Amino acid sequence: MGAIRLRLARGIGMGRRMIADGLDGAFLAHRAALERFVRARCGDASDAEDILQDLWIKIGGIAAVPDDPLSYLYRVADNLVIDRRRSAQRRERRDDAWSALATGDAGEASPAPSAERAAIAKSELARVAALFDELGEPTTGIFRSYRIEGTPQRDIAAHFGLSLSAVEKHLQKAYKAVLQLRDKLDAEND
Amino acid sequence: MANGMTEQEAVGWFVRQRDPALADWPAFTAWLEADPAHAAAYDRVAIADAAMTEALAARPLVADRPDAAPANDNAPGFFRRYGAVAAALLVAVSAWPVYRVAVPTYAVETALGEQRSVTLDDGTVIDLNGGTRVTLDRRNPRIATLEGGEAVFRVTHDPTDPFTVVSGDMRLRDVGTVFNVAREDGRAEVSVAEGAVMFDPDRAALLLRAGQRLHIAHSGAAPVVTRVDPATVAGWKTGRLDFTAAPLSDIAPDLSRALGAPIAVDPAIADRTFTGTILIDGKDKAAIEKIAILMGVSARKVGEEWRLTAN
Repeated sequence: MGAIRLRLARGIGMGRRMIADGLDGAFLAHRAALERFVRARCGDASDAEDILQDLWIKIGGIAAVPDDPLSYLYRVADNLVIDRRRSAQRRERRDDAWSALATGDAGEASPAPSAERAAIAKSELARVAALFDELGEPTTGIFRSYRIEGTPQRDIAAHFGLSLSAVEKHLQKAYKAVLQLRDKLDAEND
Repeated sequence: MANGMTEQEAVGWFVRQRDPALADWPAFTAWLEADPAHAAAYDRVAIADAAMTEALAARPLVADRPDAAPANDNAPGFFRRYGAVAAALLVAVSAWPVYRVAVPTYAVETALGEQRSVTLDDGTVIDLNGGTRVTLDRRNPRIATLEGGEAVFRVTHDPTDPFTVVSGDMRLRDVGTVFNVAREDGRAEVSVAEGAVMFDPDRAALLLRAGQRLHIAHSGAAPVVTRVDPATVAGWKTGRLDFTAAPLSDIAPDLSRALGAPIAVDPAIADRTFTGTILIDGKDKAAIEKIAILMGVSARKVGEEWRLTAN
């Protein structure tokens, strides 16, 4: 299947765009605040411009208006920054792999990048699973409800009979453990 | 590495900002502005979170045995208790908010160069191109997850129970349809041959009609809609691959699937485009050499893999 690199995204949702309400309206009304956020978030003014442009294009394709459009815009902008960081990281790794090939550092064997990635992912998965077993309940159950099922923290608090701040503490504990594991895995993979 | 205090704060912000009811964006902005190290610490949390969910999403599912215990498991109690975890994450690699989906219970897979057809209980037919993996749920035949590769969905339409295709964070709902979906890493493409498909029905609700193609260049990119000759949709079934200004990085996976050999592209030429039709007759893997000439590049064999490089 061929990919056609024409950008027609501006044409999508034209009808809605005529009156600036919903996401477009929130974007236009709060552009300065969004820009300030994105700039602080990526620490680079030109990256920030790109992100805002991406955000504007992205919301052009969204017809439904979320409950809190501004909060939604911030969240999407934050995701765009995260995606950009991740693909930059991936590109670096890929470049490393290619230059290793070019200089023969990779040895004789034919590399199978996707198979290798899958194997790494599989072993990482076992480590993640072991980590959550170690964390135990209710931390694991709370994390699962929040991160995997997308349950709001207030609902989790009600369900577990905990205060909101207790739920937050459990989530923080889980994320700190995940971060530690990440550092360990990164050190091993390098 | 961030100091302990900053890391603690970053984790706290990440946990709150991801919950729409608790997020405070102006306060978060002020925290970021207070010290450039704050954004870096927050990135570490976000990237660890995304990497973790990706590891979970890559968990192999058990083929063709709906209620079988997971096969490989050194993955212990976490998954025995929460069997749906990896499945739910397939649609939520880095996308928030997380969607709830039905639990897939078996997978159908093809090797590169292989094609396979599956008929579901409702009469829906899925044709899998090579190097493709589709997950299905016996309890809910109206949902299919394309984990990677390319497939044509010939859907038996039921207005009261629409058929849904999930792929990465993309959702498609049929409106009486024959459509082709391809996915490679973050890139996704949907081409409609007959009827119509609703893209992202819960949010964007973008209606794609016959003769339209939706392309997402990478995860998080805006969807782009262009035209496609409906007759050429899923040309791969007859060995016909049509490309219009397609970058080599998009073409290589299509060729891999058709020829049955892994094909990689030197990043230096990944953005080069090609327009034309390639007819593939049989599984002559060496055909890649001729195709490469047609595209103005060279093909070299490195181990089991072919590599496209500049001449």
